[in-house]
Amino acid sequence: MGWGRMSREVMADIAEEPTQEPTKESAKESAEAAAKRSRTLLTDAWCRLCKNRLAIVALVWICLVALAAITAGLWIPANFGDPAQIDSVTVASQRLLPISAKHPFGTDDLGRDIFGRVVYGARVSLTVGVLATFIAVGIGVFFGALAGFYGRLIDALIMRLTDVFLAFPYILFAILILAIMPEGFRGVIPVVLAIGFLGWPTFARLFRGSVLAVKEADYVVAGRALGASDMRLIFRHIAPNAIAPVLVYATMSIGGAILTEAALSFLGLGVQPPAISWGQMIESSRGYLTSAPGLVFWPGLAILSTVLAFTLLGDGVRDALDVKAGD
Amino acid sequence: MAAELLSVNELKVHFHTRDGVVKAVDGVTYSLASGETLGVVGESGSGKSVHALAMMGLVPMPPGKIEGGDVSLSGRSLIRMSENERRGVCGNEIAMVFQDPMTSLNPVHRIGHQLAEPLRIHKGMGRRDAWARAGELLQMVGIPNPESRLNGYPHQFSGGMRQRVMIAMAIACDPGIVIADEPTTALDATIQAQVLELMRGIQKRSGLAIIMITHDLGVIADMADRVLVMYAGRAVELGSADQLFRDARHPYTWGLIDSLPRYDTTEQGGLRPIGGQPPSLINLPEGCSFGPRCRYTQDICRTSAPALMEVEDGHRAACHFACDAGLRDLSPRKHA
Amino acid sequence: MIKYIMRRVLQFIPVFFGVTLALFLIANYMPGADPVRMRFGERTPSPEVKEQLVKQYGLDRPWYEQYGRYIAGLSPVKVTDGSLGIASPDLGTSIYTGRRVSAILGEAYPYTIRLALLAIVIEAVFGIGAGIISAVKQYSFWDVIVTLSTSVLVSLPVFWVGMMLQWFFGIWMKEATGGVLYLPISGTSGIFPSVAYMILPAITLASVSTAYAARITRSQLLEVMGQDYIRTARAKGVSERGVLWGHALKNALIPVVTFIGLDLGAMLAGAVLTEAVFNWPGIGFTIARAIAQRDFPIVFGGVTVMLFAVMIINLLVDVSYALLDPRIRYGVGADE
Repeated sequence: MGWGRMSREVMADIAEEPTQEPTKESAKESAEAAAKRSRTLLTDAWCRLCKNRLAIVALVWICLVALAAITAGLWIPANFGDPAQIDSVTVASQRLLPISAKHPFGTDDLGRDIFGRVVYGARVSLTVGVLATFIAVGIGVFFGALAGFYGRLIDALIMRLTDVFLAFPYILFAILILAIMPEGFRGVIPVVLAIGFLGWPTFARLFRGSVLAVKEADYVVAGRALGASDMRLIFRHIAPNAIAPVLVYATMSIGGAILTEAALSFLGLGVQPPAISWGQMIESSRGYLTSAPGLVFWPGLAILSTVLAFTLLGDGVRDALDVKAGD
Repeated sequence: MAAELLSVNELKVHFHTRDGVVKAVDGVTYSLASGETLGVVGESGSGKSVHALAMMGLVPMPPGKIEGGDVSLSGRSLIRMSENERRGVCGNEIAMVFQDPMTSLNPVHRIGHQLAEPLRIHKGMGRRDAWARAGELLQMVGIPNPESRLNGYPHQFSGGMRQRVMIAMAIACDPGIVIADEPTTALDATIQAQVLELMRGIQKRSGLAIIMITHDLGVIADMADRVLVMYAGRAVELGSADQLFRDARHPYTWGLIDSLPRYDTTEQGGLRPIGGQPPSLINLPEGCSFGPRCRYTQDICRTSAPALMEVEDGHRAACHFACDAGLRDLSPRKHA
Repeated sequence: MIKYIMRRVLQFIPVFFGVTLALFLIANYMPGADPVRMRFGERTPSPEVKEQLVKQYGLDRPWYEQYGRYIAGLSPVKVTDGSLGIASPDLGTSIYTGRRVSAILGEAYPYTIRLALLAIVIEAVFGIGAGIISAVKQYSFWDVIVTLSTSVLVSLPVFWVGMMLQWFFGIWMKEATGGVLYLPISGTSGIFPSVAYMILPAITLASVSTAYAARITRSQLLEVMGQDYIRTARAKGVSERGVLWGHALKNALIPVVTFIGLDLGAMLAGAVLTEAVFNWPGIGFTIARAIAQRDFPIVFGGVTVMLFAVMIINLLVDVSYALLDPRIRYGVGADE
């Protein structure tokens, strides 16, 4: 699960993405055309995305979840009680209550409102999802660009390194990395670091592939013939055209990272109480599956709906950015 | 002329796309006698391939739709017959050779299997008989060591060899008609000549009729008894090869002939391409669809579409001035 | 073919050393509890006993020496007293229990293999089946259902799926049918667990992969159905059913087989989450527990065996790929 599995299919899906028809204009014109094209490409893509109803629903859902998570402190404790504190006086009477107007999802084994805890859990999930993806994209694009542009020895080294990373079973690797974090270093940050660190090889391969494809395009060859520097070529010409698959995969990756965080927390290696995470909520409710399945159900549904939203949005972005379909 | 084998009557094939209705084939009429070779010539998008695919039931529907007209093969309608009936006809009485031999053979099946397949479907042959016959077919199309080649896979054959296999597959069931859709376009020039020679030889022996679809007038001059010139989904000129090359009546046909390289010309400038672009098949211009590109356009060309009219025996052209001697004198061939 | 396999084996060597070396470096610098103390739990061992254990496991040696000893232990060819001999690979002993690692892994692997095989069967049957239905009836109701449910499946947390299945089939159904009809929700029964115990874990393990298999089958089949050789088959008069089963599927399934094969490799590498939910004593569970206990010999041994298992599976995938695709079996390139 998580990135490890997803990557294979996505790679197959977008591996041969946007190699555009080479233009026959003069070198300078085509260089500018390339930059302009990447701008109009994004505008076009946005228009196409807006027509995809499923992707828009997904985007709206993500915004809602994010908004609820950001503002949780303002309205959850006042209406549903503190989601992390256990009230020792009322715990006996308040525990495992069924669904009611006061408790939309019921209460857990320690008398806390499950809805409030699910909303708070979104904070950890979204933070981990976004930050881990940023780290993975950052490292991946850097190494992918190095490998794709310089080729030869650097390329071979980086690609073997990605082999090593991808050969290791994903979840076990994450467990191992979390296990070697210094003692006492627990919570969101080590999880972000571990997931981000494990995600880079796929981005590196993806970006390397795009760079290789774009590198041979006429306008880049022309740019090199005109004596443009390597850095200028990478950032002005190659990056804008090679970034589309990375963008698509990054969107899906956020969902993957949320899944991985939930899994790690489920295994007891992620976020520790009193901090709240969906995976950890499920883990701590395992014993109540018979008597109160809602304790497991609601956080799982939260994970599913959020990850599904990122999956659908990713599909939408992929379709919207598909250069071949636009031609 | 022998008995009429195939007749195409006002065939219309349209594609319903998001941008509008593409009138790929918009009323084509001709007939074909057994043993005859009809050349169908036109630019890409003229509908020459689509009309053939429609006859074979190979136009994807939707978006494609046969909007009207009929095609009858020995008196039976290819358009109205059931899917099952058509399957019994295709590959059996009428077969097709496609443009790109590199992609037209299934990469995971042995050549022998692919050659034997129509025989097993249509002639009810057993595995062994069909395989043996497939070997004879390979021999017939000039592939050496047919027995061992039957066990080969398409990627082990060169482009020219694959096209020979395609031809062998097409003639496997001894059909009356073979439609060849640009059979030589993807091949090297020397191989092209060999493949055409092979088709001529087969025709001479078995008396099959060939519909040779091409954009290459050279191939037409080489092969065709009669020629159909298509433009923007319509037939613009139809006649014997001799009539067309000697006395073409449509300015588009002149353009095609003019754009051929010639060795005997004394004219300055050499090749003369046809100016402009083929029209959009969604918004055909009013009047004559070739009008906007025609050098001799008159007022009437902008308002009314010309019908095919008989200019001499068996020679028809869709131009308002097809019979106009004055305009005909403008034909470049007259100066040559 | 032999050359191809040799190249794959050679490619495996740097990956193997990379992974094991990385593991050793991580282990050597891993802070936290030291493995010897973990074994004794709350009790404090005497310094002599502790010293002896540290010596016995070579924990006082520098990492490269430990790594060298480990690799030497793995090698089937051993140098004893200056002469070469053959011995079975030695994975060492567990620090935590003192048992041989090979024995511990030998107990866990049968569970993992059984679960993986059943999950692969589920994945292949339902994934490919759904993909075919979805592609053949593109844009139909069933296609929409398949497409949407694959999106949902890939977004599911595996452990949650497992628990919900436990709740539905093990708890709710037991109650609803008065204890007559239900599936056991965890554990195994003896060395040969009945299939009933395996159903829920196998479905859980297969859930995500089935969705990917369906997606890949669908997209591959749609792509293949648009190929020229499918048109050729139709032109030969092959029925739609024959086109699908005889011509399209074999081409479309080549990448699907690859995916499923690689997935089997991934499953053999352990399904930590599924095994954790169902208390399934497989390899993933064993390694995860060993990481928590800092029982490095088990981690190293487990990962080593895992790497070899994955490599062998990948080789088998490559071989099956070649069997399915003649272009690879016979090498690409025409011979003319």
